[in-house]
Amino acid sequence: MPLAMTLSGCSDLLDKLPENTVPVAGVDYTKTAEMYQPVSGVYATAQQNFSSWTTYGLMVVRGDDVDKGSSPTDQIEFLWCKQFKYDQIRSFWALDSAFQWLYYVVTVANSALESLDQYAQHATSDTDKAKNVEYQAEVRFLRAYAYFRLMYLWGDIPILENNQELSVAKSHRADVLKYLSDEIQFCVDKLPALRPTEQAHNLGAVTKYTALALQAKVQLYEGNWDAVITATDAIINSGKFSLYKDYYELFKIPGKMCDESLYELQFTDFGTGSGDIVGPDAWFTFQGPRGGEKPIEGWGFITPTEKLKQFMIVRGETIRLQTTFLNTGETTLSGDYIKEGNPGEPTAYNGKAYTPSSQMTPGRNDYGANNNVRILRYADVLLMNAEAKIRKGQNGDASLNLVRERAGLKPITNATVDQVLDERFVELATEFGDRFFDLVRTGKAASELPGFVVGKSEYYPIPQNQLDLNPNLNNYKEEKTF
Amino acid sequence: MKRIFCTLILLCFFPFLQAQVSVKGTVTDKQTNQTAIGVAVAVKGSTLGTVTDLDGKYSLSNIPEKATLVFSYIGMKTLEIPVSGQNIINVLMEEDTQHLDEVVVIGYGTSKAKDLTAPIAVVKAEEIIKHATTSPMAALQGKVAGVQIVSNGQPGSSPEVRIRGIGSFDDKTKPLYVVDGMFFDNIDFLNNNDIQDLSVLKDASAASIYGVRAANGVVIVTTKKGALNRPATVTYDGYVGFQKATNRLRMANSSQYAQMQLEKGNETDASVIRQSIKIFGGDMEAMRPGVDTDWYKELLRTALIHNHSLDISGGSDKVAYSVGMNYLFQEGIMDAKNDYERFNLRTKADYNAFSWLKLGANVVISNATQYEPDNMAWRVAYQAPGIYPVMDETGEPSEAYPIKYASPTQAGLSSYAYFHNPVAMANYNDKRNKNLQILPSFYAEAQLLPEKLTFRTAYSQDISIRQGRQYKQEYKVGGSQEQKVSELIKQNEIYQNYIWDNTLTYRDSFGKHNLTAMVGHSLRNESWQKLKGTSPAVPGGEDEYLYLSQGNAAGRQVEDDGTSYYGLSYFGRVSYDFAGKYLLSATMRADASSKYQEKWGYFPSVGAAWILTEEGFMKDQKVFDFLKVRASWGKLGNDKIKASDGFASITQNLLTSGVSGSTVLPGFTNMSYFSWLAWEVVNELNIGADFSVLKNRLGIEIDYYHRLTENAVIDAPLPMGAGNLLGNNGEILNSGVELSINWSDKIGKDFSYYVGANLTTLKNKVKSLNGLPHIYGGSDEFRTISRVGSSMNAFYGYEIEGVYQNANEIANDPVAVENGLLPGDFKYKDQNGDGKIDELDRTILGSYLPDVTLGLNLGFSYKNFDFSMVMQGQLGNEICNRKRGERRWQSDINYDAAMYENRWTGEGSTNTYPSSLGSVNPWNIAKFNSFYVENGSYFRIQNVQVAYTFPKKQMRSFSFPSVRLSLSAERPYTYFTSNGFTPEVKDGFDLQTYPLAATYTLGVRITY
Repeated sequence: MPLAMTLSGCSDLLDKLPENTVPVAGVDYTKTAEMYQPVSGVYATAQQNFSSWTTYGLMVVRGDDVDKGSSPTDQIEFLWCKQFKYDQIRSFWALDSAFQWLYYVVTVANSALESLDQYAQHATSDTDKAKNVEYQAEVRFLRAYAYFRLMYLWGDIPILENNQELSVAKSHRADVLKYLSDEIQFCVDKLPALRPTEQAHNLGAVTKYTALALQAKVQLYEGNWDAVITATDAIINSGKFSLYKDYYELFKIPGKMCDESLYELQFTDFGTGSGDIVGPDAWFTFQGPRGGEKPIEGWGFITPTEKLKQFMIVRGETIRLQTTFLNTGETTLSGDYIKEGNPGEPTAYNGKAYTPSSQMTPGRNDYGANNNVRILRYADVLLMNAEAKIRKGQNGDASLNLVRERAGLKPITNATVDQVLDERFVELATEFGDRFFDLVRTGKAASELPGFVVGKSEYYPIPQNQLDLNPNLNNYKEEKTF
Repeated sequence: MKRIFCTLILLCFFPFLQAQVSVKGTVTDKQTNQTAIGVAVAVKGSTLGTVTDLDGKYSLSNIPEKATLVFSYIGMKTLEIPVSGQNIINVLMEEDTQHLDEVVVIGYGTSKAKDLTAPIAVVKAEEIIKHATTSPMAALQGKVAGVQIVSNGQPGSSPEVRIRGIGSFDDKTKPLYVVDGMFFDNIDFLNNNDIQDLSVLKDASAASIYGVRAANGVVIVTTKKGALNRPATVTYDGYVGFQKATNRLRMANSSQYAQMQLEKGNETDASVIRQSIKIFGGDMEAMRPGVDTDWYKELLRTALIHNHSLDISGGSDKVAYSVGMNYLFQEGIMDAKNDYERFNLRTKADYNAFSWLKLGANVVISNATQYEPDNMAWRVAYQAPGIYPVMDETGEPSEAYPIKYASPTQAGLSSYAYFHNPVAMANYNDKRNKNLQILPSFYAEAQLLPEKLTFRTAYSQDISIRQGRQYKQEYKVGGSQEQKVSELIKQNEIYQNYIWDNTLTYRDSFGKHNLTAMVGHSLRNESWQKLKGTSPAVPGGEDEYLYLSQGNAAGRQVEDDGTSYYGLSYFGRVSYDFAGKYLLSATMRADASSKYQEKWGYFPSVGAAWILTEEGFMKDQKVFDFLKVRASWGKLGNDKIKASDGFASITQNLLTSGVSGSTVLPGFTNMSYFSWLAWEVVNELNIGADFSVLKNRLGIEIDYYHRLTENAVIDAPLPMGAGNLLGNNGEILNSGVELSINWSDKIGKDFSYYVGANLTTLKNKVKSLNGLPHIYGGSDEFRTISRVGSSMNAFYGYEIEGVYQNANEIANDPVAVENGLLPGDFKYKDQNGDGKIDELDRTILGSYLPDVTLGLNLGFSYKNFDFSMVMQGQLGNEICNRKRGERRWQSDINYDAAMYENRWTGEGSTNTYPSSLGSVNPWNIAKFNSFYVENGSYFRIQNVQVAYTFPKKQMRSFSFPSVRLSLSAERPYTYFTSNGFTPEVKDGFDLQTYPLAATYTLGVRITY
């Protein structure tokens, strides 16, 4: 008997499937009820990868609103980024991983679009077909957002259209911009005109207004004021968005997915004190008070600067000062005592990454657990609107004053561009490099940022590791001049 | 098929039709001229046989007239004498100093050492039980040329074993262990006393019979067995002893630490000293802390080890048996609950059911419990300055519970894990691993044609149940050193592996042509299942409470996983010799595995040898007593790599499901890259010679090996962040020379001695990376590089030219000026000469692989007294001192004493060490540089043993057993220069901060 088994049965044994794995071929594309699954997978990837502390660190660290923080030597390369010593960071692992994380979102989005194509072929009802297009737009927005970050970090970057062709060459920034703008336009056209919190199938999913906000941001950075006005007016005139009344709580649990939010990376502890939890890749911990006690504890990076503090004090800021600066040796408005670090260590941490222990689900012990990471918010839309209007010779006071009013400041009449830029400095401080990109686009970087050289310091070098893996990154896809 | 089988069975009865005779005689030792007791006398090609009695006499009846008798005894040359009608055969046996007639276990068979065409090293039980090691492989350190063993001090942990270098990336370099036919990744579950002998198959022609599992070499282990016609022998072997830490690295004491902190000249660094003095006392004026905790002293203890084994073996004319049990207990040297206990039972029986059929069964049961220490405590002990005490005796209110441990935060140190109270860490740790391993095997061997054709079928299993349990009790020491809610983690793993082997062996001689041919078939399955559960808030106090169901149901988590692979193989071997002069052997194995898309792999080998001393033209020469030259070539496979993903697979879990409010929407991501893997293949060429001279007293074995790993599987990164993908991306070459020399002699009647040495050279080189210029390894901060043309995973960083000595030197160096350097900072070499120091100036700083490993052993015996000593060492490897490198993340960790004593203190003080301030300057510590790369060469006295044997004595009717008393020291002394606790660092990164221990034991062996 065993002999017979050996001789006949063995070839079957060799075809045994691996344990604990489900093949893609096993996905049933006729079940359109499950059509959102690949889309949800892209959201999940985006949640993790857009909140990666490495990418965030690289985006934000070069501005004059933040210092590197932590102990002087820990992740010293972030300091070199800040000093624009790009020669020293070509092999910086975080530079490489940021590049990889962002392209990973692109890869996952590309394959989700392939899955959606499969579903589209099997979709029979008009509702399913319409949903399919909307879902594709959601995925393409998330992919566009990854390109948005990539382009403003690196300038000339490759466009990965086919996952199977990874040895892609770079495209000129102008080509990337064209591609990015077209993608965003597709999203604006195909996404529903809802507030993210109105999304029935997925609370917080991106909408037409999210796409418009990103469109405005790109056009602002590129100086196309008319386009900024059109996009921001569309958002404002929808009447769906409003500023959350309490700036301090906006960044905390009460402010999660409020009506100010256009795009947030969502996380949850499912309301339970233990068990499963979905959190960002150390985004909060990265910025938590060093040497503190759990849950108010972290690595102490990205701390708001003395320059910002003085600037705020002179302006008579109150709530925004209290929100942005998590001062050590003091008790917060929410009742947490922030331990003083060793001398030489930061005296304030990033308050916008602070979640009070009293707001946490009892039992959760990690800094920022259950909080979201804010990406695009209405205040930014208002400020972009104000700036573009003023630059076009119109009056921007209405939008600007909404933001000032919420911060407890007096309204301004006939505001200037500089006044809007100052407002942006304060309102958006520590948020994903907004300050740095503002300084660059307004030509102020060289005077405000020590070491900044125009024409050299705008973009990080492509990571050495990526050049090694894909020497084609030294080349351009096609020569075009604009 | 059926008909053939019946015919074969009929043929088996054929021998009984032959004429039968009886033979008897006496066996005498030629050298001593005394009768030889216990010599095995076997009828060649059958299972018939006996042994000589106390007077050296034997008798055999009913044996075939044309039979050949084989006389064998350990250490003696085997003799074959044809009966040819004689009734009395007396024999003189000669000592076999070079073990040429020794029977060596090879894959799926045995061979005489003389007939081998491949280098196979055999280590006997005697050599292994000399060592008080918990893992048998650790006893081999320094004994076998070509085998590098990196030992590990933790009770119950495995040593790293490398045979002829490394030819594979990641953790795929372990050799294959074959224990009584079953495949294992390690033999830690065996007691040294369970082993009869151990063969190391080093080259491809020996190992390729194991095909796809053989790329890293093969170690065949035979557990103890009985012998036919032998009276029962009862052996007790045991030792008791203690282990004591050696080579404890000296750390700066609290005053020295304070001095360096103050020399940095800023308030930040001075403040911790001030705080310590304020809270724990000291001299504030002189800034000298009152506490001086020697954390290592607090953590270390002298630890107990004892081992007892009882073995009974013997045999009747039909049954040979061996039954054994042993118990080992080893305490760890960390003064906390950490020990290793192992109880093994072993039974082996071989039964001659018929003259043509032999059956056997073998069971080894190993039951071990390990309390694992928190090894992080060693690391924290290294990092923690002595400026805070173990216990808080200030009388001030403290948050610490349940024990009033002092916290580093009290001394103003950050509560970061770098400074946790190491003693508290060690004591709040509770981690238990249980390993029950059962190895049953059965075989049947039928002689289908007497003396010619044998069929053997064997079924072996390995059933292992590993239960891990970790309990984190609630406690607080201070800062982040706390556990707010208790947690219980349990993990059960079950391994069920089996192998079913069938072999057919044919032996025959035609005149001077001798032939052995074997074909075989093997089926194997390896499966692993894991179930892991975690639960918070489980009450502690008693072991009986530790169940997941006692904890908070809401927080329970469960995980499970498994693998299962099948392998199918066909193999064969032909060994041929002409007149014992020209030897040829060839093997072939075809392996298939369910793990890979490419199912089948073929592994051929061929070996040839020429025994020159058998030639007529060598008869008159006096130089060589024995001379053999050998050459072999073969292919070996490595299937320890991950299974290939033959299709794009989807991942569906919490991390692929987007969050929507306070819930997640089911989602998946699909990975559309798949790896079509072929097996790693090692092509090995071996050329060697064995010879003995000076009346067989000096034996020399020399081999050159050239191992080229092709298709090396590398988890290479894909461009564009698409992840990593396994691919057959590399070629790695290991080459070198192995030499072993053994001299043994007798002076007079009572004094004999031996001296042996072995030496292995290794050159490791990456030949190709499939177009990539290099692959990085190590960590981001401490890089290694595998660059084409250099050795694998070499340290990669900045080379230091010296230390800036004065302001003038700084002023004249633009690099120093630009980076604001001070005297006492490192000066890097500008490798590319572009006037800048940047990443392009990084270079290879060394390799963790030794150029040379060597072993020395010597011993003598005088009457009943004997002495032996084993020494070993290695040369030419480098170690990265990651311990010092940790300062990169936390600048105020403690210093080792050398950092204090050698620090730059002014012009001319040193050109290698930084100043106190320099020791924290990012320029010096945030760039991985040659300061952190140290010479890893060492030399060690591995084992010294003295023993006295009281021989067996007959007093009237009572016989006193033979008693051997011994004193041993294991690893009593090591010479090395690296600034660490041990020079034995597995991957070259020395973050290992626990001291290795020397073991001193008193042993007793009683044989009755």
